[in-house]
Amino acid sequence: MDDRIHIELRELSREYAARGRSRPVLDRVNATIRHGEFLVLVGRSGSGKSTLLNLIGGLDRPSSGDVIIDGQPLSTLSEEGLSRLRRHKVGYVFQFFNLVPTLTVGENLMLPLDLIGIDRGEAGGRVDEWLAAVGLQGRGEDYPDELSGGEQQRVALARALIHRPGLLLADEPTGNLDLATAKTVLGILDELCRRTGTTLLMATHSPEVIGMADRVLTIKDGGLHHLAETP
Amino acid sequence: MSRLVARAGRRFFVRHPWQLALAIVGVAMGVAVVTGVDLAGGAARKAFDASREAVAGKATHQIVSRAGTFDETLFHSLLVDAGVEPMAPVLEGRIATDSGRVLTLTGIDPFSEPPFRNFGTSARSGNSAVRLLTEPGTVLSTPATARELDIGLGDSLQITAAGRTSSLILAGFLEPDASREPILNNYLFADLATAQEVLGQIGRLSRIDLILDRAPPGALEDLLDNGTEVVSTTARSRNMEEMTRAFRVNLLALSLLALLVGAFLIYSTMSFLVVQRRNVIGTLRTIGVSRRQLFWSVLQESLLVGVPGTVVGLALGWLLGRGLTALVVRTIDDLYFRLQVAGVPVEWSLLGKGLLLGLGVTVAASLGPAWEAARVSPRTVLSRASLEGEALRRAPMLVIAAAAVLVLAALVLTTGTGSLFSGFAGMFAVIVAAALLTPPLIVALMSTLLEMSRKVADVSLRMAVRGVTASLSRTGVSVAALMVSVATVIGVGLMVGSFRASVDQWLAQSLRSDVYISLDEVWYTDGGDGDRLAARLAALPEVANVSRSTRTRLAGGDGEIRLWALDPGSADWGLSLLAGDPGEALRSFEEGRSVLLSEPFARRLGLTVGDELELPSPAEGVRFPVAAVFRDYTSDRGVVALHMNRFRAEWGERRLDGLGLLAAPGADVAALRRAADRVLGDARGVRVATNTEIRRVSLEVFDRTFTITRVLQVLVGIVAFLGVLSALQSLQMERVREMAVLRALGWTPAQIRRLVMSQTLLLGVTAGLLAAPLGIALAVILIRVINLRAFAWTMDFQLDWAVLAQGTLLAAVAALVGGLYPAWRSASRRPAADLRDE
Repeated sequence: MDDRIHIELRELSREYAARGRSRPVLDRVNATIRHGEFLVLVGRSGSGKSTLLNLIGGLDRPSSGDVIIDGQPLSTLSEEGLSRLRRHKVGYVFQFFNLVPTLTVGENLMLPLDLIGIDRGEAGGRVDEWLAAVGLQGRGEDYPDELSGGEQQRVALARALIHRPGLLLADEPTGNLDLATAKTVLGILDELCRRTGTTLLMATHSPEVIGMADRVLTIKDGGLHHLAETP
Repeated sequence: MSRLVARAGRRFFVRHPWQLALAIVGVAMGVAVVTGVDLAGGAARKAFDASREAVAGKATHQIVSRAGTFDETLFHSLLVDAGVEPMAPVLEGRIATDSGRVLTLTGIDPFSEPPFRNFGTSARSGNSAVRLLTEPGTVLSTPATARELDIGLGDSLQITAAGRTSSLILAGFLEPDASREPILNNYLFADLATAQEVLGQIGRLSRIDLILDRAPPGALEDLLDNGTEVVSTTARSRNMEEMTRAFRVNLLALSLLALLVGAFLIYSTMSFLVVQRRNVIGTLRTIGVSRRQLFWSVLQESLLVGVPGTVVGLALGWLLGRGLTALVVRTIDDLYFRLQVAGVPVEWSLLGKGLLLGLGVTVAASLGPAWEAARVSPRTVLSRASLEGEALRRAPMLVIAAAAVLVLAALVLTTGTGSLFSGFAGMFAVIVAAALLTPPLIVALMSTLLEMSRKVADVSLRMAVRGVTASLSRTGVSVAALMVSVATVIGVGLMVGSFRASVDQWLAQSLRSDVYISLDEVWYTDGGDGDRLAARLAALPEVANVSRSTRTRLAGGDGEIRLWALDPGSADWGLSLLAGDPGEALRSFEEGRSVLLSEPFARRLGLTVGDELELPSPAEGVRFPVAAVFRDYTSDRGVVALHMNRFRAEWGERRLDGLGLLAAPGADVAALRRAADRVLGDARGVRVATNTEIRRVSLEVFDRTFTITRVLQVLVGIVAFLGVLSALQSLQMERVREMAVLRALGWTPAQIRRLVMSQTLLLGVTAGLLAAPLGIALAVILIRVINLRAFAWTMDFQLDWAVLAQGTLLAAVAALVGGLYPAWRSASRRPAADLRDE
């Protein structure tokens, strides 16, 4: 972790309309996140953890306020610009892995590199390197449905980091895994992010993650609080 | 675009080969129908061009007469006074051999011929052109004709022409190339003087062929009298082509309808592919794949369906074209003129059109799904609930969109330019509006059904009903695709049924005599033979009345007019009037003061009661007021009816080609026919038929004409079946996890099968029910707009409940059969595997 500000949330709000009424999920949230920080978001289901990750990753647009990444306000970016941002600077990991079932494990890892135009030779080397990093050497030709849940999540992890994004957004990455597998995956995740200096924002319910994080924030009633400050 | 994104799309098809195969077959069927119809039409057109070229040769213009023939002195005047060259005088007429074979005898001037026609003559027959000149009564034929007539060189042939018998001697053989031989097999060529003698047209010509490299010189036109004029051969060819235009346009419309159904199938398939892969699309968006990349990726995938589908479609289209050519030619034979088709040539331009159409429609039908894939935000893409929620929320919007499209369709259909194109555009807009209305109608129908099924204990039935709405994003598209297909089948079925009923009714009204006698012009050219025969028949005690008629074509540069001269005698004239006062019209018609127009003729020329029509008579144009417009289905070009007495007075022809005998009170039709047969004896060129026989044969011709329509209808039905099969496969593939959960809860495979089958049946019946009103709307548009604009005739709309029931049944059966495999597959899967997340 260094002192440079990586992400800044300014008066960030997001409302959803339901049955003709608008319901605020995030209400004028302000926060800063530093480069290489491991930050955990906790809160009840529906509290807005995934919404916040989606806003930071440019998958959703705020109702008001802004997200600034490396000094770049996301509100100034078009849809194409947001796609480029994710392509180069953001990695995603989901609860349900979301691997592309019609591509092999190796091709799934190759996908982000292909999108940023890394030549096949270099990309092949990086795929082997990351397969080894997540303990899946020799499984590059397998299809996702030939892997266990834990293995699939490890592939998802490697795919999220292989293009050196700088920011990894993880939405309940262990929510679909057993305890032992979850621990293994979290260990790999922590280790890889620290080694590569990647900022990690993780929404989770799992208490064991809290001890690994640099900072834990709680979302409640639309606001973002430090764990100790939680009302 | 990323090659891996493209690969992911391609592999989806590799993993779901059945879906790919069904989509390919859907495109192939659409392309095959359009290409097949095009090739058949092209073959007929080529045959027609070859026929024209074989006879007209290199002539660019022709001098023709409104009276049919003109004095040959015109030829000499043009040659000597105007110095027009090259020119070739021609006289043509029909002759019949003893065996009954009817041929065209063409009289030519061998000296004038070389610039125009070169049929080639065989060495074995020597200089046959010289023999034509030096030996009167000699003719040339193709070897095939000679073989058919069983004559050799130097043999004589007994023929009848203009009611007289003559003897011709075969002086030589024509040796045309293979493409022209089938046409020339129907001709005998003689020196002009011989033809004039045999045809009883001494000093007369049918036409003078000219080769002009620009518009006819003024000097030439100054020499022509009122009865003759110069027309270009292409104009005459266009005129003939115009005759079959409406028929060809109608075929094209049907084939486009088939392609439209195919387009719905492609749209449905591509939509499914997008919907099924929403998760993958969402994942790709989170990785950084842009909307544009996704859009192009889906379009590129559509080519995986479009390219093989189009290629297979072109091959099938060629095969279909061969089959359809026979049907097209038979119909043209029945309705228009005799045509000889040597084969179905591979026309690259038509295949190119099929290629463009197949790929174009595939890409166009995929634009919506591609846009859908690119449009949705990655956040909502990852949520299935949001997908179906959006589909439900969009339902009211679809009603508004459908209403807007319907208003547009109504405007195009009612206030359009009256062109066929706007008619088709309006019809397609109605189809699109119906497709847009399908999801909201499904929601309404299923809500009602759900309410009704509350009292039913069977949970699976309620689940089936709910499942249809719960998967609206998928069921909406598949029901719409099936509905459009079935509506097309219903619409065309109702149109053909209404048309047949109208023709039957019209035949019953217009055939007022009990026995009809047709007189061939070869034997009954002139001289009152027909009148003498009519008088002998009228004297029979079994005959109450004899009606007389003649049909003739009045030539003109801007299109010929078919004139029907008739004298109904004391019988009812049998015309069903659509406009005009019957009493006044009959009076002025009998006095020869006015003409009656058939509906197509009146519409084509924009004439109505009270207007005047100029008919080109031999002397000069004669103007007649229009007294009435009558219903007539004999020709889509239309006819003009004039009383026989006035026709004879103006045109000087006494030829008759039809007599109608009305049985006297107490005499039955069989007795009348026997009496007529006694009078006719073994007269040649006479055909006798009863009223019933003519009605039967006419309806047989009608049914033959619409055989091709029925073939296309069946093909559309097959496309519909493939569509529903594909949609159901996709739908059930989507629900494997849901079925696995049910199995885990204790459902038996039989219950799963029942659930799947009830839902597919529900989809089929819904599509069938929605197809009925759309089918009726299509039939009304086909009858009131398309047929009216193409053929200019009206018909009564007949609502045949059997056709509607068959359509609904077709939808239900297609859905049931289409659901069999998915039901078996859903029930036989291992739930454990399907319960896994991925």
